[in-house]
Amino acid sequence: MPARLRSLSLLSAILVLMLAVWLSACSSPAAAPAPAAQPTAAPPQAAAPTQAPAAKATEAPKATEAPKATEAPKAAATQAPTAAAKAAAGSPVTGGTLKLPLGQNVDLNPIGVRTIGADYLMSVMYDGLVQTSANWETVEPDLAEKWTISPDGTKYTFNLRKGVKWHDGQPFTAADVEFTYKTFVTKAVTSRFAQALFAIKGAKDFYEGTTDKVEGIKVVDDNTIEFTLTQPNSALLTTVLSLHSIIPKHVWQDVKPEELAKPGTWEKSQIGTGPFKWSKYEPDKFLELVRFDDAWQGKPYLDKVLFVRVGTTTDAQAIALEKGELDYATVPATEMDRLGKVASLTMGEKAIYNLRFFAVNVDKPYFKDKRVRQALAYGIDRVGLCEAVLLSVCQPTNTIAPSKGLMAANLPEYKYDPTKAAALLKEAGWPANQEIELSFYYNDQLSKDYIAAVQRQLDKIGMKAKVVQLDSSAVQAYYYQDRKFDIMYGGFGIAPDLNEFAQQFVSTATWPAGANATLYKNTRVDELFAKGIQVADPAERKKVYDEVQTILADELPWVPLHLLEITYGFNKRVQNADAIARNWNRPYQWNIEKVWVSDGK
Amino acid sequence: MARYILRRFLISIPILLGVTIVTFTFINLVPGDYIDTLINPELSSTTRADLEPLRQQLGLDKPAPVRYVLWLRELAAGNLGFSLSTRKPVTEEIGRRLGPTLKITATSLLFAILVGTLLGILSAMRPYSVLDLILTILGFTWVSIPVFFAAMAALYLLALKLPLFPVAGTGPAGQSDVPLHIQLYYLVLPAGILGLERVAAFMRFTRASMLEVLRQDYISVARAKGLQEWRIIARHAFRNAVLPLITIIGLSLPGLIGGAVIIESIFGWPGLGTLSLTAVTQRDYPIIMGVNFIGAVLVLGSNLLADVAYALADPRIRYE
Amino acid sequence: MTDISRPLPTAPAAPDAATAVPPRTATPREQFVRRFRRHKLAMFGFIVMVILVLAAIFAPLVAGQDPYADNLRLIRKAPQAGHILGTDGVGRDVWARLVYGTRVSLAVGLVSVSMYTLIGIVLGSLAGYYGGWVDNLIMRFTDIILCFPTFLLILTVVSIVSPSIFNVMAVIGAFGWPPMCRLVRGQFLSLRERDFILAAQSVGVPGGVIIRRHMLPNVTGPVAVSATLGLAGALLTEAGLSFLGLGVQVPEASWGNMLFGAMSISIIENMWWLWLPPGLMISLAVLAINFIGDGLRDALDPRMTLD
Repeated sequence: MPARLRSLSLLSAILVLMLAVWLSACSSPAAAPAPAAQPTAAPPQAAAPTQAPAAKATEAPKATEAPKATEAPKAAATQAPTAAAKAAAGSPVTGGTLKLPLGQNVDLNPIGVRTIGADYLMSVMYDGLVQTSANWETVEPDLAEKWTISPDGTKYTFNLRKGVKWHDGQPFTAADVEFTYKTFVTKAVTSRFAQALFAIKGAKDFYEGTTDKVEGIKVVDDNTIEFTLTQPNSALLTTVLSLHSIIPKHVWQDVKPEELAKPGTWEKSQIGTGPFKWSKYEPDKFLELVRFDDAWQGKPYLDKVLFVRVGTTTDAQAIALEKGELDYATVPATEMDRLGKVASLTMGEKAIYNLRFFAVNVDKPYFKDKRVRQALAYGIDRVGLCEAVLLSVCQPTNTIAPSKGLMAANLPEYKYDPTKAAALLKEAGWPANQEIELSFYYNDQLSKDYIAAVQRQLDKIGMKAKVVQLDSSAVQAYYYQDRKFDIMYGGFGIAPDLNEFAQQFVSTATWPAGANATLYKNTRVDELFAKGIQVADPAERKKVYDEVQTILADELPWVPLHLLEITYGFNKRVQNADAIARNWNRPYQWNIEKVWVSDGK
Repeated sequence: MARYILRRFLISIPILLGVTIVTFTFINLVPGDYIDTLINPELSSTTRADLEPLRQQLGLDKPAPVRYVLWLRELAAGNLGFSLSTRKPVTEEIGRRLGPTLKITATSLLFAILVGTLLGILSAMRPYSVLDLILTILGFTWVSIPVFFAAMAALYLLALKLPLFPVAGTGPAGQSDVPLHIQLYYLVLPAGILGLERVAAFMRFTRASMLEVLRQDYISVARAKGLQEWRIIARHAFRNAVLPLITIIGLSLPGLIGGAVIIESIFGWPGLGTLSLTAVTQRDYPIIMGVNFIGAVLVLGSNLLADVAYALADPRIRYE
Repeated sequence: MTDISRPLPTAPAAPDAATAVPPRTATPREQFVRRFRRHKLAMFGFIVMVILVLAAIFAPLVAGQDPYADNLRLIRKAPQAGHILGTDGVGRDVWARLVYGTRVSLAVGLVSVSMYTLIGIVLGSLAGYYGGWVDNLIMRFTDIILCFPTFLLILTVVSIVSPSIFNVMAVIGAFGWPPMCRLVRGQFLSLRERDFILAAQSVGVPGGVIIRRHMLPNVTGPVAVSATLGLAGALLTEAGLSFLGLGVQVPEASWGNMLFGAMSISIIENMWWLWLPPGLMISLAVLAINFIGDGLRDALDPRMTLD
């Protein structure tokens, strides 16, 4: 072959090689799927409502926190006539698949090893002992039908629901609850729930391996279990037990704790008591759950719940929602106007009890004076920024409490007053040439806009700020280890109980055991948090936390800005699904068994 | 030549070793470790102290040099260690995503090489003609559109307004065995966008080196002999213009597994690009090391391939 | 396949520009300028670049207002009196930000591209011309640099120095040269075996002169393409870094970062003034540089006639 021809044949050889690679890539067969135990589709039933469980009446959310559903113009809500007729009559249709987004890189273990962002999957397959109400203010029964607390507040007796079955047909008993909690406090399981459960007597010893049973957990009979605490803990039900999924002892008892800690263990199959059971999972593609006919909540209307992986950008999800490839998605606030005009969608806005604030590093000499922090509160136009920049998808606030019911009355308002702010700074002797770092770790455009506007407002009161955007994974190192920050824009909350803030403000809660990044110290606040956890009477507790809020509102280690809300959209075919629109970080009952789709598809 | 290849092969070993050491050092210089990334700063339920057992179980409490040596030992045993986050072998994690990534990257590269080279030749045959000008402007406009913007616009136009293509994924939701033609259908948008981004590069390189060659005397001689133009182009000119193309293709090969982070994340494509991105944001160092190691092998391999290809394309090139 | 067997004309020596051109009164420099000026597209590119550079230098005058001044009553408003290109998400003037963005974008693009083009050409010529151990040394070094994951590199550097866009671009410039280096070296490997180079060597012309006068002019084509594509690449990388939160920091403006901020369906559909201007500017700058590159190459080539 003439030498010069070689180049051409070489080039074509490379192309052929690449073609081969490409073909092999395309034809690589997906892992052979196990034949899924598909339930036979139930025929449509007109009398479906009788199946609805009578156990829990859905509590009407309080007016202030009701979803502000903005109905799209009813331009062309064309539905199949029969389905439309049924929908109009309000009688649920059985069958169909609900398509929800599957997060990226999710870990499916229900035992708290690494479940950030996947808790919502658990509440479809599992139940806890108790759950919090829709507005997070009261505790409701779940697998525990009722419970009693001893007068000294240290002994909790749970009466478990009878006749509950696991997805494999085995009966659910108190032994499963005991097994679940022993698993959580087994060191090798590495569950993040462990520390909070040290409130149970003997749990810490069991964790350290000095005993082989947890003294404070006692199975009384098949349907009764008793927890004994080391000291009263008024937040136990709301902030601890409501987070947990109860797992079946008969399935997992012979699996080594080290294995339970591995995500792979949970990717083959899982057994729960929830209304939907495991069917098929392909990592990074989809998770399919099918109806559990014997669910104690009642037979669900839907055949399947399909969690689908779509693009990770919120806009990609909005497109999938609009195209009907998803039935629900959170959407950016900027898309609300446009999507509101799409006939197939219902858009809504909902509080998620997430407080946005500026944390001030009070350890820095120039932030020690509380007048400087008060100047920040006066100098930032919380109301104006919330309305203009964040498109009103937020609720300006002047305290840390994440929901109305927990807020103290008569707190200083800190109405926007740049003149007063500048005066306060001057009074406190703020060094005019001091440049501070204004840091944040969000990467969405609205947050960037918000920070840009705040920087301007700080400039107006005479505080020069440099903006630092952080890689979210460097947050721990930046705030706690290096302690470089001056002011941090952050979020916190989704806590139904103000005790959650102890980690942030108690002077001893420093890193790594705590999360007090500002290094705020106030002995009265320390005392109040210590007291609050032990007081059982709700009115008495509120007094304690009101005082905490009053002190914090005066000293402002955090400058509260607003409570964040989320904007979301539903396909109109989905009925009875308000609960799904709530925050997905925390498991609580979605009542997904009551959700149905009007077209039955 | 055989000796040259052997020598290059041997010298690759210390280079690879050096690269892994530097990469490992870099990973450890970045603030934050895997444990940090498990803590949601917006929730109070977890603190770093709670995760101490996990840190020990994963061996993250050992000093970096020790961890590096342990990693090397795994490598010597023929595997790449275990992912911190999924606890599965790194080879398995990479293997699972190799297929989807190759699908996008190989399709788009193939497309870019074929179309780009062809258009480049067309452009060079009539420099500064209307066609050349149009191709140039289109090509450069296209390369100056960021991939994320092109992807969003394509989704908006071709998936939403004209519902021709699906929004995301490698196949219909919930379906395990996707037939080839459906796979291709899901591939069109992501691979098409990525391919078009690269067409311009191949087009411009071909055009430039074709122009260099076409103005050489022997082309005039060939023309004077009365050879048909396409013959001159195909047999005489293009063969001499191929060197820069070999370089560019050689440099593109490692990108085959580097994946396409942005396209993958917008189209929900489970590929290596998103794997390495999450690995970096999660500080999952065995995955970073694994992906980077394979990438380095590919870089060295394809550069060697390109060097051999130079010598084959132009026999005057000698390396001794 | 018959005519393949015929002896192909061997590539003749590309004659040295200085000697091959028939004697004229004009100096080579004047010829170069004249040729370049006759190249219409190149002149177009040149004028656009001059305008952009002037706009960048005199940004405060051209912009007419503060690019950082917010106005919470004018959020994402369409073009109107006082805001000829409308306003963005904080009520800032898009025109002013576009003009100030020219500073960042041009600096970012030109600095990183010229940095890596220079390193790439120098190392690539040395390796390609001298071959042997020099080639081996330089190319193995290139391999090592190519093996580093850019993203990790940027993350690391940014965490050590501050995350400013110029630091990021310096990293890209300092580590982005291997493709250019391989490109030049590949061409040189072939060129150095040509008769005209061998002839120059045999009469004792120093290596440096051969590289500069005889070999480099023969690789201007691929180098120009690589550099212009590199500029587009740099502008886009800067935008892409915003995707990862590493780009231009708040409240600074750059074209890429403005475009990234407009990545939303509502904005694409309804607010052209947020994405079209920065998009056009990027395309215009890239095209202009490319035409200049074409013009330079043609002007440097003595045999290209424009008459």
